[in-house]
Amino acid sequence: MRRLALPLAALVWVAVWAALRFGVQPPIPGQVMGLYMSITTVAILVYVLADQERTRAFLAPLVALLRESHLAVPRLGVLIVVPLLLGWYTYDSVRPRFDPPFEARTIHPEPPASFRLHGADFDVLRGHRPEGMGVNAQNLAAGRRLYYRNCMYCHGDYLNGQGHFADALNPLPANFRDSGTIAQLEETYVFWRVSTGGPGLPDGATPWNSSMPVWQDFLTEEEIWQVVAYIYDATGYTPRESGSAEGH
Amino acid sequence: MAGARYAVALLVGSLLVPGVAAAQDFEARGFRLGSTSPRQATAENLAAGKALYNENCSQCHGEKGDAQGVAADLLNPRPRDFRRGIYKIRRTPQGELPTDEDLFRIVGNGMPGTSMPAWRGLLSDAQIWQLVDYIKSFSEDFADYPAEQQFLLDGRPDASPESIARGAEVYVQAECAKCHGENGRGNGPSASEQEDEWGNKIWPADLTQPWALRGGSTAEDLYRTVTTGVNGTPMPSFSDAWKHEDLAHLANYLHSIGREPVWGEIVRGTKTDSIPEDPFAPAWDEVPALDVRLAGQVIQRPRLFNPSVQSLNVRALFDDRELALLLTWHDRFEDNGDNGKPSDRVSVLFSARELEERKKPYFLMGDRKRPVDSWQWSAGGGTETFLARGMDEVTLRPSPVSGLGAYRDGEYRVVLRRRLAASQDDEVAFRPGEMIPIAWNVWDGDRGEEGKRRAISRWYYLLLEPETPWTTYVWPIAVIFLAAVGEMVGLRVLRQRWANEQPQAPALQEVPES
Repeated sequence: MRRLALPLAALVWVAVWAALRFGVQPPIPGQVMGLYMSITTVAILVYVLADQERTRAFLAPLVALLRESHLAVPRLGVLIVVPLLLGWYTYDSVRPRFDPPFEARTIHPEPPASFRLHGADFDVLRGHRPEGMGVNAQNLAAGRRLYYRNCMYCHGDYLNGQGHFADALNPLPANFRDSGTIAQLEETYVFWRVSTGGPGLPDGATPWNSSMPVWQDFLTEEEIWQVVAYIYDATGYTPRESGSAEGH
Repeated sequence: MAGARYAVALLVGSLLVPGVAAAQDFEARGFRLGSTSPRQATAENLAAGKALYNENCSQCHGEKGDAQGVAADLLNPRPRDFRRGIYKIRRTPQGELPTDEDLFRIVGNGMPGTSMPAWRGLLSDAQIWQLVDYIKSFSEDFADYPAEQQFLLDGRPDASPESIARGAEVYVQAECAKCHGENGRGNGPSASEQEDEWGNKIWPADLTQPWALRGGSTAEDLYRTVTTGVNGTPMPSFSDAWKHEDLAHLANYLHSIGREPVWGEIVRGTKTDSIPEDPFAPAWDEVPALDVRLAGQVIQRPRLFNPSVQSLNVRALFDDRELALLLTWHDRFEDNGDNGKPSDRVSVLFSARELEERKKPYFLMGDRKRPVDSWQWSAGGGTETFLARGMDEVTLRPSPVSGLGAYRDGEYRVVLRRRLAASQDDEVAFRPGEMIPIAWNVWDGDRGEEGKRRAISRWYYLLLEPETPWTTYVWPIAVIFLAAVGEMVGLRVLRQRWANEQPQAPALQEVPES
């Protein structure tokens, strides 16, 4: 086994790389991948260097390649290929790249304490669904109708953010079936986002270019509560209880 | 009772006999047909299908399958009415019902360019089959006159240049251009007068933009559509008069005129010595393009839910003095304002000021704090420049932009040119190497689009590609040189060491033995 130290080390390295590259979904970002592989490399070297015999066996094929006269042809090949690879790597890292600037997206920005709703203040933190606009079959049916006449084009028939216009938008419309959207939020928060849309986002909510309309320009307060009730009901999520979340 | 049954049997018989005869005709013309095997819907599957349908489909198609769902009147094309059993995308002969597999495929794949989503991935295959069972229950025809034969789509010739050339001849001989236009842009002489079975206005498909073809865009899909037609629309089945081979070549030709879209984030402007004046100059074809998807403006009243133009193609060239943008889009009819309809228009939006903290203006024509520099070209009125602080605060200003546009065979091409440097306050400046936010709006006058009723895009980036600095090539060469020198020195040192310790090198002697 010792004599195979170098091929074994290479095999372990490739196996770890392949497992990370193909075994993990979604794919691991390049920088993180680099980090994992550095750790793997260091771990293999530490293991090899811990034992003198093993170290010698590990180095033996390399030494042979540089030394043995019958390996002159492969030796010449390696000596030519290694500088060329380094040159390519250098070119790849210094060549000008033009990627769109990275835009951090604040998924659930801190809401304001209150906002203007049809000329009156609505308290986001302490407000709640008004009496008489409760979640019942009639309001859910109305909410469904409103959703499919207003929201579907972006948020999709299946409420998964894959509406007919979704491909034309950035940021993408929210996927209500994802556990990271409305499932994480209080009902008043969703009410605020629907009512004030993209232009109602606070200054810190980068990137400042959501295409969500200001729905209070189109819908009454009751209608907004109805559609909020509908998207929770249709996805099977329940809003977070008010007060249970300190910040988002 | 018995008499009635006999009458029905006679009726069905008389329908079947021509069917069989037609199948022989099809085979004589080289088409291959297979039989179908309709599913027997169980009560459980029907019940499960009904629940799935009411939850996911009835919003558009209606609880009774009558295409009267709550969203129906805002959709174009309108949702399918299942009661009459008229289905567009099928492998069965014209006028016949689809097979169960046809329904399964269309529910699973959705219909590109419409609001019908692909349900594969959202629902399981078993659930989609349950939906197929339930959808069939809206029309008695599925029980009475099920499709008995379907065209087999495989075994077609490869898309060789000869096949494509023959397909182009068939396109002319079969008079496809009457509706679809000489170059397949859906703008033939009859394009304006088409209606479907339900009296809705419809338009011939633009075959050059295959990403929006309802029935899919593979050569197989195209062969299926020309072979079986599109029931309920003026698109006929050509298998009644043409041979299989001709239609297979036609499909190859249609596939060849479909363009691959280039979706992305960046319009890459290329440096040139001379910017062509003519929007149709061949030099433009060499410039890298970006395709941009457009959505309807549904943020402010009056809203537009079904924009006519759903994508725009953009290219950019620049020299030391000027930038030129080429905007290309397809529009079936030229409207320059003379025919009582609004003029066709396009506009380009830039941030009028340098971005602060990377904050772009509101993508809908800017906002109070962040105005937008808007260049607009209209088929009737030429080029104008505006400063906009939102859709309601738009000010006309002297235009430093020159525009040259033309309409040719279903396609608009507009070149907008301006000096790289800004000439007044609140005007975008173009510097190579910078990411410049850019967006577009498009109006189709034929559909009554004007004012806020327009197709809109989000922000993209325009980049004038700078020349690559010479250091980009020097560094790699230096690294290669240093590495080679390092190798030679290292090897020399090692050889000297090996020469000195020759007598005792036990570990190394093992190597040749193994």
